Amino acid sequence: MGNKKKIKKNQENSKPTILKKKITDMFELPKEVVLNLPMISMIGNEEIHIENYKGILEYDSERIRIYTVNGILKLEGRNLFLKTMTTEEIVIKGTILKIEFLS
Amino acid sequence: MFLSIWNYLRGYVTIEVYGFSVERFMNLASYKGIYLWDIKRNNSKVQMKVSIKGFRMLKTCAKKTKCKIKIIQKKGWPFVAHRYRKRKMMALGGLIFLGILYLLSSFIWVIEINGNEKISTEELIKALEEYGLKPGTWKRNIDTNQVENFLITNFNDIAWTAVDIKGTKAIIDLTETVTKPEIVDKDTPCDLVAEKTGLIISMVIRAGTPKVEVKDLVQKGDILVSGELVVNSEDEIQEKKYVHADADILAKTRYELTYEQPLLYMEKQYTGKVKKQYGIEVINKEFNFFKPRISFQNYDKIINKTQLSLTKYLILPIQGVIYEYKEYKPIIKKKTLEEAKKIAEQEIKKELEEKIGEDGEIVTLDIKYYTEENFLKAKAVSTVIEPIDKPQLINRRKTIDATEGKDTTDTN
Repeated sequence: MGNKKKIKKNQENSKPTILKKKITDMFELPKEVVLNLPMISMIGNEEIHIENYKGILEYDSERIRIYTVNGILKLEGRNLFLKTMTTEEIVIKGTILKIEFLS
Repeated sequence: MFLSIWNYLRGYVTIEVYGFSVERFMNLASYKGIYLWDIKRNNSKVQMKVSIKGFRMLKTCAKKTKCKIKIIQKKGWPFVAHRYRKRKMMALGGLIFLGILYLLSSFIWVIEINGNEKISTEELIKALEEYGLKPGTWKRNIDTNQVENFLITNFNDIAWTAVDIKGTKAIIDLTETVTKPEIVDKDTPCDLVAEKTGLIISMVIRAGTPKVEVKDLVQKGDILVSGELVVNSEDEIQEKKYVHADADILAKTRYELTYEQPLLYMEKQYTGKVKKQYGIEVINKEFNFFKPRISFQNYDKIINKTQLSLTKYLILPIQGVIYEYKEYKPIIKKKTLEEAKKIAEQEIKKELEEKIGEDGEIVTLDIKYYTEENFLKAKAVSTVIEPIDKPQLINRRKTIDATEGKDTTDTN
């Protein structure tokens, strides 16, 4: 757990990150590319695409926790399953009921 | 859909992973760039699909994360190919099949002719057969341009043709020439003569000298309106001019028609008994099997042929043939006189209308009927009003003689 906190500090509060944020805001650059933020898109409540994820922490048919730069993304739903999983993107199908960021 | 076909061609393995932390195993796999899909959790076990190439790399991941992998199913073309790799005869059979398919598709099996009305299809097919284009000809031996030339030079009635070879089908499109009606030029002098014998009812003359009058009886070939104009000039010298006679002349003409029809006719009453026979026809040769014994006295034979083809243009030289034998009982029936008379009247009217054409009009129609040994005979006498004028060129020599003598020229 300590390790995780360190990463969080590094990612959100370190000087180069703040500077990067300012520059991207100024030039209106795509944040998911420059800041490596996760890009989440949903199709109804049936399908969710998450790009730029860091890893899976928990995987169940009712609950999925995914680690991202912004913290942990918690999904809750029914009959969830991973449609595809590549280095860049993860696609989850099923009935999604709840999306939550735990930081 | 396309993705699943692609995955099938590449081959994939369905595996079951279980152990201390399956999530870590999945993270590591995706970090290494292994594509995983359809990941489903079954209590402590996780089922997933992975490509053959990815599966080999998974073994190190499993060792690192202390997970165990169990193969559930192997699917895809590479596995099928692997299973049949030692069956040489099967591969040979496949090759032979492809070879035969290629061989058969390099011949022409069907000739389709479109656009002919006057020339019969059989005539064209016969001519093409003599030329060398018939079912069974090798496609490469056919030069479509030469076939087109052959058709145009051998058939005067073909104005344009295009020969196209599509698959095993030769498609011949053609247009026929329209025969020119015999038109006498408006400027050449001509007479109007009677086409039929008749009584003249009305005359409207636009050009020429009338030779007959209304209520005159004319014979076939009589001159009705002459193209010769006699002009009296001031010097009292007769001058002759020749013009294109033009007039509408209606005359009453008479037609006599006879019609005969049998009163007895046979009607087929099908008993419902049908026997079927199947056969195959390969390049005009029939092979029949299951020849049934036919005990019917009277029967209709119905032949149904269906051409086998792979696609619309890839037609195989095989025809499936179905013979159907339908039994019937002949029943002789007799028409009533009323029925027969009705039919006779219709037939006579039809024939008459065909004879007089669109411009004619039926004035009276008398039909007399009499029966003779189960035959109904009808005799019809009809008067018709129709145009009877027909242009006829004025004899050239006569006109020249006439003009030379009088030293006036207007023969054009």
